[in-house]
Amino acid sequence: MDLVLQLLATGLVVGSLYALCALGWGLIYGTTLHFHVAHGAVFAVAAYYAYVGQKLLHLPLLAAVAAAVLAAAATGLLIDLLVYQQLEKRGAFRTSIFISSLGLLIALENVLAIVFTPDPMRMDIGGLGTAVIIGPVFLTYLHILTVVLAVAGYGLLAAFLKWSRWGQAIRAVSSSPEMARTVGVNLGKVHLLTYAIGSAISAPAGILVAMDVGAEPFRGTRFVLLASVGVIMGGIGSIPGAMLGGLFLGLLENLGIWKLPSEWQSAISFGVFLVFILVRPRGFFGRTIHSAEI
Amino acid sequence: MAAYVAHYLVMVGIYTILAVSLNLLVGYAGIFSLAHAAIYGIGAYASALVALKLGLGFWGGLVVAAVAGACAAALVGIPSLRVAGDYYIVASFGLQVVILTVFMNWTDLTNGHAGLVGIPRPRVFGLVIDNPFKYVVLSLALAALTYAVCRRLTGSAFGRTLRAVREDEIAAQATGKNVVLVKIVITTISSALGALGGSLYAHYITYINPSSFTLDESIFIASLVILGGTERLAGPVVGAFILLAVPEALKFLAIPDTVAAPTRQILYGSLLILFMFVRPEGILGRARVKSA
Repeated sequence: MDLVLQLLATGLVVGSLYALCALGWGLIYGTTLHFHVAHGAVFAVAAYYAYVGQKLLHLPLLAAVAAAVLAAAATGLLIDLLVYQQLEKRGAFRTSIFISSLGLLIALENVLAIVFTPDPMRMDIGGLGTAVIIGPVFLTYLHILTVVLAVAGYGLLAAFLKWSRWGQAIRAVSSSPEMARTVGVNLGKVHLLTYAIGSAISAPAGILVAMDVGAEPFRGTRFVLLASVGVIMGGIGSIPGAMLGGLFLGLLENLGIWKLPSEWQSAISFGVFLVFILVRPRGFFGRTIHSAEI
Repeated sequence: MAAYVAHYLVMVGIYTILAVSLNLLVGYAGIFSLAHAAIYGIGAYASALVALKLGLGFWGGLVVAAVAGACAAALVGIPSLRVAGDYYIVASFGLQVVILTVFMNWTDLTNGHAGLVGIPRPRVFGLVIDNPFKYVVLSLALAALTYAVCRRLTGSAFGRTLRAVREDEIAAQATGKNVVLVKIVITTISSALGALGGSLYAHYITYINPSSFTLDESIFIASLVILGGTERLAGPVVGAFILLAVPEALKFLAIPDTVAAPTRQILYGSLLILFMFVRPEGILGRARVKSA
């Protein structure tokens, strides 16, 4: 029983990381319909921004992290501005956007691998690494902070989308780009904003993992594809869905270890995913993307 | 030097099979797959296992490989292709991860990271194919056969239906085509053919392990198709000839190994982006007109 509680706690922490990733990726996918795999590169590069901020520029940890989140938001925005929007201007197909995104992911990850080596780059996190023992469960302050940040990130994003003027514009584009344009929403600007916010929401996940076990160049691919699994399971276009999907995957992976060896973690997630889309293709509470929209 | 060229041509044959079969999906059906290396691996492991454990010959191994590849693709394709759009990208990535996990961790069957050794050389019409020169003939012959099958397929009524589905699913459906069935059938065929490449590889190298069938390999095969040209059958063949020569060319530059591998990946990644801007239809492709 103690083991189950520990696995639940770890699952919640890992699930929070997936949730942050899924929130950002899902916001971008739901709004722009770009299958933005290069989000994985933004995730990875955010960690290195924080590492560089702390280790090379000698910023205090909090300042380094804040600067890294802003820089990651700018990176996401620039990817849309300089690559996707330019391709769209040339009348590119959706597949071309996806392929360019894949190219960006590979190229950026490998640039990181050359500049920083493929080995994990550790950061100093001071007291955050201290263990907290709650009954049978062993966590660190960083792990607890991860869960808190995921909940806060979700709350902020939901509030922004619901109440702010720009948030409403994003929702309008997400539900119907044509209608949004007709009533005077600038699609290009909304896309840029979506990329900035989506990247800023997911960047903390990359940074938190790096604070825990070091920054690595190739970790983003797995995270972004798991995020896409989470988003589809939660329901495309649904913010609570992305949050739930991410948490669900984290818990599933970790509770799976209870009965199966840990090497099978990813296999469990994808196996459940395949059964899930067979039974409920539109996710917990989402809309399906019809081929006519694509 | 001659042996070196022979090896290069054998690999061109294998990658032609992989790329031409993937092009059925990416180019003709408009379905993007991240699992072709997994299919390649399934073909390799299936034929290696039946050769090692059951003593089945080369031709038998090819059939088993094709069936295994087709089954894996159908298993993933049936749930995900019912839903339109990007589900197959995610599902195929899932297949890639699961299959690689199986290769690495089902040690009783696959021998894990160490892989399978001592896969016998093929015996074709009583002749043992035991050197690269003979293997060139076998490899190119099988590649030509795969090419011919794909040519026949894409030129048929089914091929036209496939393009109709890619261009406009709703219109294809309106003319009475079963869009989902068409997609599942082409995914299955593409994987059955792709698995042949794996079988050929296993009997050629005689030793396989999971590291040949990773996600990077899937992306590499997709790059052959995209850069070579998706709209024509010959496109991926050109892609295979050119991109397989790139690592060899990079060997002449004196870069250390730790930098050479990422450099190659950066080159592929940049080429993919560049082509989307300059020539999205690939080297040989013909431009596709975007419908409104």
